[in-house]
Amino acid sequence: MPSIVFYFKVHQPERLKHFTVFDIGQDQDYFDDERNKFYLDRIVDKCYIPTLNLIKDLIKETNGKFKVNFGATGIFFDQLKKWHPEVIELFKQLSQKNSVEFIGETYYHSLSCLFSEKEFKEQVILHKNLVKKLFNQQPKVFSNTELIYFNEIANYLQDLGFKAILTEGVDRILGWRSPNFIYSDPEKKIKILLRNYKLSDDMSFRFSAKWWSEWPLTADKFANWLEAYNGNGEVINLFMDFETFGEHQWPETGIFEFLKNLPFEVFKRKDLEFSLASEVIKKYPSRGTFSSQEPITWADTERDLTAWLGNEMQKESLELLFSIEKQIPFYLKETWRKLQTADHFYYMCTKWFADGDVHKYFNPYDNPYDAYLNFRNIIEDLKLRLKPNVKIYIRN
Amino acid sequence: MKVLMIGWELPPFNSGGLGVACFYLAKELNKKIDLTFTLPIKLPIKQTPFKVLFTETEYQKLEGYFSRYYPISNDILDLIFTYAERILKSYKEKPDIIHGHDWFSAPAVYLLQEFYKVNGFIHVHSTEVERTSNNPHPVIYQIEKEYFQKINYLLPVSDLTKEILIKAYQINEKKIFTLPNGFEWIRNNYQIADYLENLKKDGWQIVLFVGRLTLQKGPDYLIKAIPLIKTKLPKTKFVFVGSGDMFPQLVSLAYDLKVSQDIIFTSFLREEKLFGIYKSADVLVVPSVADPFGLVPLEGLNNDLPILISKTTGVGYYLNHILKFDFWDIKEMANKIIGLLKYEKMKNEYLSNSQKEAKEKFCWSKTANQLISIYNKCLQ
Repeated sequence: MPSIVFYFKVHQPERLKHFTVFDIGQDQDYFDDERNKFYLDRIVDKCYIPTLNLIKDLIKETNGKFKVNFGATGIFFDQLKKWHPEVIELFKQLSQKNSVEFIGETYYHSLSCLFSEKEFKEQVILHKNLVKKLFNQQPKVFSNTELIYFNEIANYLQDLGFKAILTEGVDRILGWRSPNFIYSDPEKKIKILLRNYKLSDDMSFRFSAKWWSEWPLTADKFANWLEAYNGNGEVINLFMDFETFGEHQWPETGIFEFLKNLPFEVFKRKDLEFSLASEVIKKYPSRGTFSSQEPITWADTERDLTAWLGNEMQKESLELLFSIEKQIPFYLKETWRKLQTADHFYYMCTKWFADGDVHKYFNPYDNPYDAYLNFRNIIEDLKLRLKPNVKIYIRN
Repeated sequence: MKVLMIGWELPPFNSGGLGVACFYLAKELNKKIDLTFTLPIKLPIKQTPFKVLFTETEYQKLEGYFSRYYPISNDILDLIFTYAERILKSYKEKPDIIHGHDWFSAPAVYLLQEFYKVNGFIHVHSTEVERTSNNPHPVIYQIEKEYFQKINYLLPVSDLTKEILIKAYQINEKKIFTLPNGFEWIRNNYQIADYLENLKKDGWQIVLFVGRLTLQKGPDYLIKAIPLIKTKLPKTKFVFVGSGDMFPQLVSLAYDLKVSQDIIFTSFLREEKLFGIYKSADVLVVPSVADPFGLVPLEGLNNDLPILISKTTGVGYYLNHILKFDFWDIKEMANKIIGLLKYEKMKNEYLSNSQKEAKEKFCWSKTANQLISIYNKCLQ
């Protein structure tokens, strides 16, 4: 009986203010509250509130048999706390049912695992504490920024008490094997849940694509596809951005109706169930090892880091940021961490940009160079603040 | 298909980008269709790969001929309005298409269009409204408006110009087809300017402006940015290549801002000398208030120079890998100039990506093919 594991990544970055070379050393703020609130207002309205309410109803109507997992970043909750505490309340109501699990994340949607083990671990602990405080849950399963995984991460996670990690079911690693089983790292320290990218993208990416031969996708049809795994799979991992509902796929596409009908279509078929991530890792043993020395992600067709570390501007920005790690005083720590958010580097991505095929979703910049220039100016300012003998103002 | 192209100038006898664009367009078109290119006066031009028809047999000097804009003498106006007649004296065939360039060939195109009862096209490289920053010469504006409306089809070089044709000239959108220019990506011979090389050896960086010194090209905005740039990068020199009516005004502006010693005015330069300056510079700035297309940014890229253009420079409409600013936003212009001078990785990444994209998007054979398909569409 295959278990369907729904995992929704919920994240919003704190976008940066327009910061020119002339602002360096002028004691300016870095973050564009106005813009961040503007985007958050919109997405709370279009996605978070309607989808969370729908999930709440579905859990109730199915007597708790519909289950979902959330990987929500700390920087996302921080913004909700400031501007939309009612959404946190909704998450809290959901968390009281045994049908919702919170997955571990880096607090600031950071790429720290690639640069600093210490910083990575600190952020994961920060996020763990936040989940404990807000929802009284102790995350046992982890999902990294952009589902980054490489073997070394297993060591970090074991140290932090995690039992499993979510990542991409990358074909070049799986080979003939199926993503619909649980795997473990080569040293068997943690279990690995792999995204079924075909079914996940059918929902999150192709759902409204009229060129697609399967369009329109109905809950009935999708449940048939899920049922087809009966007998040759134990878990079906559907991992996607939470913003799929109402934002990437607008309400007019029928995405909400789809979600509304899906649990009932699934329960019409005998051998399917929805599960929490921590349930499936208890229920099923590891069926093999999944090993990658190089970092993999769930991004693009390459499933690698090139969207964040594909060009010299991105590499230099991240290297500069982490080169000052040891000098960051406590009162600048939060600022420094907010600058680690992967989105800042994603905006600097130049591949595919000539085709205009850039992921323009909530991107505040016209082009990758503007993104770099802004970020670089901010780093130059931050470096000035580290220098001794410079008068430093502690912000309230 | 027989095309009669009504021209005004060809290199090396050209006042700017128009003659260059005409040359390469005619060269590419001639490979595919039967083309005759006309010039109103006899000029000692180089040999061309296409047929050229001079309407005069004697070399002739005309006051103001190569300043396409000012002053417009009576001789020039006379030439413009008798151009069609002169062509008919020596051109004995019947063309399928009449294709002119800008306002000075517009009356001829219209008259020939009516005479032969064939489709006339005006290739709009720039409009008077753009050249004068919305302060048009009444006579030129009147000629443009009247004949642009009468001629069957218009071919602006960018969507920016198309918008202006619709709004400022009340042209019916249906007869307008945007046709971006191409570019000849070749390695040019160049002659290094010693005074710039010496500056570079001393650690100076060079910001370059190339264009006529007129309102349209916005050189004053770059001068206004100099004091800001000097606060961050004191060892920067600003080279202005070009001449124009704004020169005295720019000199006094520089004096008022106390930046005279930071500026080098070279006057108008051609070919090797111009390309030599491109080679020495670190960044090219195009602060045009309105530039329908803009050949200069592509020349910059061809000479391995990162470019920074105003949002009102037409070529920017076609490129994604392009850094832009509002021409009036001095601070942002300065910010980006400093960024390119200071941050090596950004400069390199940007230059290689923008060069690659521009080479893919601008090429004359592509433009010629596009034009032939427009001709065919209009012939049906």
